[in-house]
Amino acid sequence: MNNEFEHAVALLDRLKQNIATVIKGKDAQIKYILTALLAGGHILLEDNPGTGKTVMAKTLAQSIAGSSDGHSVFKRVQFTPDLLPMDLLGSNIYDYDKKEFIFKKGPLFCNVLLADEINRASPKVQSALLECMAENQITIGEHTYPLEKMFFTIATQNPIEMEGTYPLPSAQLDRFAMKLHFGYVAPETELEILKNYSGIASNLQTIQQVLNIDDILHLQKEADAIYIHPAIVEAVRNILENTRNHAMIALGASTRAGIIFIKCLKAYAFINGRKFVTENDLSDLTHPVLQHRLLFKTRDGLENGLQEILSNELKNLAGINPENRP
Amino acid sequence: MNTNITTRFKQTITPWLLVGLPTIALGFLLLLQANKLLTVFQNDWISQGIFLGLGITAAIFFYSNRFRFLLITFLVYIVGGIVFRMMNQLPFGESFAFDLSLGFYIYGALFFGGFILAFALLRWRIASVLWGLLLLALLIVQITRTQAIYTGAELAIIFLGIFFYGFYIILTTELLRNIGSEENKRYALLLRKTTVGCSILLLLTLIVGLIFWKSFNDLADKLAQGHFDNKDNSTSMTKRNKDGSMANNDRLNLTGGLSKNKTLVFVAHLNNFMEDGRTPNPLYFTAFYYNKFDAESQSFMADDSMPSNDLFKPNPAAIPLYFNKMDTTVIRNSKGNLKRKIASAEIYKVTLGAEEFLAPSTAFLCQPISVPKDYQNQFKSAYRAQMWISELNSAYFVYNGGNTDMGLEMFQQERFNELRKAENYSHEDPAFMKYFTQYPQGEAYQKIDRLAHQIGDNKPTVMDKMLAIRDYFLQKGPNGKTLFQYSDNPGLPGIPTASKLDFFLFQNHKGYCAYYAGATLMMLRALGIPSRIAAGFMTVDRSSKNPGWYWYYADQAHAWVQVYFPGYGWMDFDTTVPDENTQQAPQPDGTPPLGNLQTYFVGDGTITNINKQTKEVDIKLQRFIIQEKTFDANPPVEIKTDASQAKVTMDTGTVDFSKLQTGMHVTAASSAETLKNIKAEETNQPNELLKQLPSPVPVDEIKIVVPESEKKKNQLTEETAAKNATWVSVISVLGAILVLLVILFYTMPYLVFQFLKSKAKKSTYYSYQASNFYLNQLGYSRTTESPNSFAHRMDGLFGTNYEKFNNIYQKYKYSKQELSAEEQSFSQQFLPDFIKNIQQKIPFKKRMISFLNPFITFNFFGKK
Repeated sequence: MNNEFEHAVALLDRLKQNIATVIKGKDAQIKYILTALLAGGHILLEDNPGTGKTVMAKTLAQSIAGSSDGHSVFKRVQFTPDLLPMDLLGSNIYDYDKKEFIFKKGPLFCNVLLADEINRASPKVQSALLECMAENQITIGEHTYPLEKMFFTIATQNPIEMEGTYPLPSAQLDRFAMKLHFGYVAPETELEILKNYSGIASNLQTIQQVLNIDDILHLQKEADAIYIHPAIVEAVRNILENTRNHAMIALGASTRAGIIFIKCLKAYAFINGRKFVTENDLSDLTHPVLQHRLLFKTRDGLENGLQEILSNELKNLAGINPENRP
Repeated sequence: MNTNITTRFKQTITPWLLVGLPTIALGFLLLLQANKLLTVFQNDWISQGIFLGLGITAAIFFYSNRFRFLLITFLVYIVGGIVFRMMNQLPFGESFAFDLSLGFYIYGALFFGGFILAFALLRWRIASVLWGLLLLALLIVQITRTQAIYTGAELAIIFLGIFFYGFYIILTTELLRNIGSEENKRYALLLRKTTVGCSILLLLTLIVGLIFWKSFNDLADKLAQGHFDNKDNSTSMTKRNKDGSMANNDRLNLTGGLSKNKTLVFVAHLNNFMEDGRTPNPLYFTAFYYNKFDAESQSFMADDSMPSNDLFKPNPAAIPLYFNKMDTTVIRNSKGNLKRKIASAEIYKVTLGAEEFLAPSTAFLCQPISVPKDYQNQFKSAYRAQMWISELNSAYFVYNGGNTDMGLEMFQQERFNELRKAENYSHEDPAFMKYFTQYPQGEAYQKIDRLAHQIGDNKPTVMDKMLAIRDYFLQKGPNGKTLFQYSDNPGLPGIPTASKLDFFLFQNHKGYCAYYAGATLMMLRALGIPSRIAAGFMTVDRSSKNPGWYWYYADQAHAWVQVYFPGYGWMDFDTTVPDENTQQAPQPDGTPPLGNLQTYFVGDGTITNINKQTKEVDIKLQRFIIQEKTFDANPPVEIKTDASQAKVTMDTGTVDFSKLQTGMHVTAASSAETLKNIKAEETNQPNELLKQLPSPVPVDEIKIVVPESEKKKNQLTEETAAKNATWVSVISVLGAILVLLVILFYTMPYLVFQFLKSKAKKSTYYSYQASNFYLNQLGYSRTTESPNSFAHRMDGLFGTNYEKFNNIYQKYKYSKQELSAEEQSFSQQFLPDFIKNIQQKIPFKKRMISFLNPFITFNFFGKK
């Protein structure tokens, strides 16, 4: 058991290192993305163009899927305003030879989907993603087609203030386990990237597959077995409740959000090589997991509302004396 | 929503606790003081203090909830005005309405004052400094305007108390203003600023004090003489009672001098005239006697066990109005029957204590009387006294200063001649003689003894010996000035120890009445003449406008000697030389309380029912007086009285009608014309007499008699609490508590840390808490960082192992796994090293200032 755990942790470390050969100075973001992967959720990367979102997604996809045995499990779709749902899902095409409609699978039938610039597509297309992200299946006409067992979406988007974008509906946003701000890298890292850009680019070409689908499914199971202390579960509950009662928040977090939160907490602890969830995990994950699900009334609320709730909860947790527990 | 309300609540409660509460406490003390000094306040300091507190609380509430000052002040003012209007419309009696509106004015002013004060303190940064200055100014005025009964230590306590309060308020209001944006640097700067500001304040006050405050010099003298802490050295012949009234200083040892003070103590009408029946003959008013010299303590004592005790000491406050208390044994004990007669006096008290009784000696009757209606505000209570006085006594004679009147001089000579006829003491009771001529042994006393014999030996009679002593003090030196001088500040306060009397008689030749009386007594007793010191008030006849009326100010408190002449009894002699520097300035006396009506009916009993609308009071009579004859009501009978025109009084003065309560012991008096003709025949059925009375009986005064038991209790607590329990001690106790609380408040962070540290030895949890608290108190608190990155940052700053410890603690707290032995020992060892590392990085001064800031501690324990 213990060996198995250590083996898994070592596997994860390799994955991290693999990605880090291409993506420099983004260790925290790599951890978050892996967390979403192990928690069985999807992830939304948001930032200005050119901050490495797409490269990140490609690297991850290649590390876990590769392109070795012919049928590629990694698909990339560039979202544009004129993209139609059938471009994603696939469509029934009339086969003149067989005289019948056959279903032509779209790019969604893959293991890792990179939905690039998702907010450039019209709401119609975004809605089409809903079912497959939530239930891992696609319904077209009378038929329902299951997706791959491991289906992981990495969506990237530009900040909604930019022109030619459609904001994602909140139902859609709720399907994403996390939303990450990529941000610019630190000055030293940036200098290193600028010096070695060709080397990094070739790294991306030659990136190795370190995990296969079964490994990922196994790691997901392993992550779900991480111990979470009742006090932390209670803290998650309190945070959810406080987002619903907060003066500056118009729409609070749902119970589904809470479930995903717990899953993410476990995965995050696992990725950090721990068998238990700590306050620190809670502190690190509250924003990526919850922020995009909430509707804030004011700018102040957007900036401080969730932090206030989190700080209070951390204070509560810090006040619990473990020696008093029964 | 919830958090919002709790923050608001906290924002209100914090300034209320830190600024409001101390200010309210101070307000109570100030009001207590004001009630003693000013009659408008009507002895109602508790409810006044509550109103002040309400004002302060309201202001803090409004300020904390971000109300605009001008708007809310205007609103409060308008609401107050409307309430006042409505009260005026209510159907109360006229006088009641007046009391009500006066009370309302005071309450309203206090409420509004408290409101403005608190708002200003919280909002305007200069307000706290101005408030401190105002308090100091008030204090100086208070001390200089009233009796100088404060010792240096008391003064120091009061001033330090006020200073401490000022310092505290300035600092706290500043802190509250900056509570959100707090940094250590800023706090230190603030602390320094406040200290400097307060020092300047202190310096300024000292300068002002030196210029305007004469008594300050006395204090300096005392300091120089090293008598600073001697509480008994109060330089006054009067003392202040607990309730602010005055009495003769009856501490068992007569020490100290006269205070030059123009507070009116009482006004008296003395029914004693010369043989012509027109010329008033003033007499000294005696309070008690110092009859024993205690060689042990070298001081004079008032001894109750003297033989032939002729001191009549009733408590006028305990006698119902118009009833009297009489003790005729004192007439026999006065041992005088030659040239004696009965005279009467009425005493109207201003600041004299309600329980004090003063009358020319030898008094034997005391009857509380009513103060005429027009003078209620001026006089608190009054009584009538009857005395067995000697025709030979007169304030003109005993007061030896510059008698130029030939008529008086002749009359004085006649008196001396009369007294020269007195027998010698051979027939006197040996015990009596021994007691009143007791003379201490000792070198210093031998010296006085020799002087006395030198002065008096060649004089034939007691009278001549007495005159020789008087003349000794009046003798003129080579420069034409009298050898002995009057001085309030003879350099050595407190007489008369042997050395002090010695100093006075043979070197200094300067002193006040107690010195002269003491020295005279010693010399008389050395010559074997029975004598004693009388303490009381000297009578000065200043105007002929109202013959027989005399005004008594605090500086007339006096001590003189009484000499016993067989057959004539005790005679007053005053050997104090006149004060040449401050000749009695003609002092205009006010109007005497004339027009006291004849009282036809007085009833003494318990209130059974009060009708506030019609102002009818039912009284169950125990005793009553009709036409000055006293009857016992047997069985007690209930009568209805009409009190709509009556004033309600207590010992302390006129009070509101609402003070009357069922079950109270009261005395009702009536001067109504309708009662003029009721008869008071001797009868076996006194209750029959009451049937003549109309129902309800119109009464003019209802006096509340405070139960004896309650008074006793007060007295007892007063005695047991402290010898001189004044408001000073109240302030000092409260001040001490405040100081303690404030010290506790500012040392709280340190104490909290010590507590956590002590617990940390056995518990990982407390190690974690203590380290967090320590960092927080030093200004390193985690804000939006995650716990781990915060710990990481701290490790970078201080070179500690905080992150590692943090991880171990998290494991301990949230994991199902047990800690390994290595982890356990690490977490046990962690805290001491951690503190040591930080101490190396942060200098002591900075750490200390951080630990003096309790507001950071609030942040640690409070919610965001």
